[in-house]
Amino acid sequence: MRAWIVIALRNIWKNRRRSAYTILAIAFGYAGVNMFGGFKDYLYSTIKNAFIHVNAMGHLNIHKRGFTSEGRREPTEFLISAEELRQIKALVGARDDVVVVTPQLQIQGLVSNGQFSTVFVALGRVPSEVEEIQRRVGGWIAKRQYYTGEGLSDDHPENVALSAGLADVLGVKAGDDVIATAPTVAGQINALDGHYVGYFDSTLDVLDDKLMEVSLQFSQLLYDTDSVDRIVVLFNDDGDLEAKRDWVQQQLDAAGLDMEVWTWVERAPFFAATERMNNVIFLFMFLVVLVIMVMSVVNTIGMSILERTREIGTMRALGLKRRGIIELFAIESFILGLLGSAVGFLLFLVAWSVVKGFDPHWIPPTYSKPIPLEVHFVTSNLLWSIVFLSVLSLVAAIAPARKAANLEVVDALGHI
Amino acid sequence: MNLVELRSVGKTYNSRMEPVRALHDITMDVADGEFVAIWGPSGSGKSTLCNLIGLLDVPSDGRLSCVGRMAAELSDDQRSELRNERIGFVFQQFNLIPVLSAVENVMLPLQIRGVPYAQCRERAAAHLDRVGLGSHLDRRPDQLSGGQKQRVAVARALVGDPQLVLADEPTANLDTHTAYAIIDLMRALNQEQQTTFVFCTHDQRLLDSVERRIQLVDGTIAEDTRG
Repeated sequence: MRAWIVIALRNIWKNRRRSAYTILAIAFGYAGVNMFGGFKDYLYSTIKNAFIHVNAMGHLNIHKRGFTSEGRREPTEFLISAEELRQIKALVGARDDVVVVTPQLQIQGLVSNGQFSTVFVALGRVPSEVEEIQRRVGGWIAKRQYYTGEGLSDDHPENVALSAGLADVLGVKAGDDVIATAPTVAGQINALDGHYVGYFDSTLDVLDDKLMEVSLQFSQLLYDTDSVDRIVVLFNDDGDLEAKRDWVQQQLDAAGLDMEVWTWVERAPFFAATERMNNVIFLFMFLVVLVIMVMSVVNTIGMSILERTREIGTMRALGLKRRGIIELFAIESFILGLLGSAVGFLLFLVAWSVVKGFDPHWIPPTYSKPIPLEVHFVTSNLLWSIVFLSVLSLVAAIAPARKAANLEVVDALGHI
Repeated sequence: MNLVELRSVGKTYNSRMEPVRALHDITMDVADGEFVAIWGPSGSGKSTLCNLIGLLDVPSDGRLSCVGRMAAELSDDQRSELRNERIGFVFQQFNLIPVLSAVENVMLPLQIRGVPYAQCRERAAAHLDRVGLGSHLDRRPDQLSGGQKQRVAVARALVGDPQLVLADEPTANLDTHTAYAIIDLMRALNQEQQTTFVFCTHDQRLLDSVERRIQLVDGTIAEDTRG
């Protein structure tokens, strides 16, 4: 093996210009794939953090069974009672890795400034528990100020925050009062004064003129109920959510509570859609890189075989078996793949540092404000790419190497 | 004892136009320790015969036995093993691997055999020393003269202690002085170690040095003379 590695390395050096083209083709492919892979990871983590932490939807959502199907028509018929909430908090909260178990109640109705009314959608939540969920966010979102003005607080349940677009539509400023109107659970119209304290940027443009944030107490008063429509559970890590969901479901079933448990991925279909779209783009890009790389390797090894046919004949005459000839060129190709990946890693480091240094911003589709554009340093992707591209280079060389190995010894020796 | 035995051996190449009969009805033996030349004009079939004896090719008909094994019964891998362990080759164009040094070239047959690196290097260096290139171990082929390259090729052919060395026009590309030096070297090795040498040549200098000459004309043996 040592002799074949020496021969491979010296031949790569001997044909250094040709080898350099192949190494660069692999290197740019490696860097391109990993830059996009890092961007993909950034997108996922941004969406995930936004959903789980910023929007305080947690890792798991517990609903009354049927809430997400029939409950979409009549949500108030699928509410979780105060007694059920107490039981669930006790059951789920007993687990060591559970950080927060908090109730929420989504409400909708009309909000008015006294002269003009418009539709609103709001989640009634416990402000201190929402803060606890938001506090655990990582990445650039952690540095972002959520409210302009004041946020909500447990001590002032009458405080409300509006999305920037809704505040603009209503023409209110901090300190003004707004009136929320909605039908109660019993079906009567109810109205409640809210004290407008600050606004927030809605991440989704389409909802920017409709969102309100209120305390759980406010939402329950408006709907005239002590029930909630969901219980959010936050764990101290993201790992193995399916198993965690199963555990929670088992606890609820065992207690005779007719509930359904959803993971955040299931409650965020746009995440799966974005993931699918990015995977298709990634696959397409990867195939292009793959084709360029394989063609480059096949060309380099093919040229090498053509130039070294007599050498192949000599090695065969000296007793090297057909398999040995394949190994000889496969090793050369593997080294090309390895060198290409190493250079590609350096290219990636340069590109990654440039992006980090320039701190660019962009407005993703459906977003209303620019957010930082990042490329994540995904160590596992970087390592696996080296392994994959090196092995692929090796595999790409097998067909031309087999052809060389199958040459008759006398034909190879007589090759000019 | 016969090292090589050929009985009614023929070789036909299938060209696009019509089959070309390169050898026909060759019956001959080469005994252990002989110093033999196969000679004849271009196209007489001497290289084809050398290739068959060296198990680089297989006969189309007849029976051929080399170093005690019937060629027709051997697979490609078995022929490779036999070449590696029992047969050495010297080529007209030297056929050294250009990216390897002299000593690395000589080490190759042993490395193919799986001999440990240190042992390969030690044996290769000793063989290069024997052919007068002990001070040129690390020179690449492009840093050696024609005669030195052929000495490296001879060392490579002998490093595996073969029973048979086949040399195809080994002196054709060498000047007279160098050619005689190479011939003397091979003759000395033949006498010291009883290694059998079979040459394919039309070089009179070499023909004058061998003890047996087999003349080929139009793919068949025209004359087999000794002395």
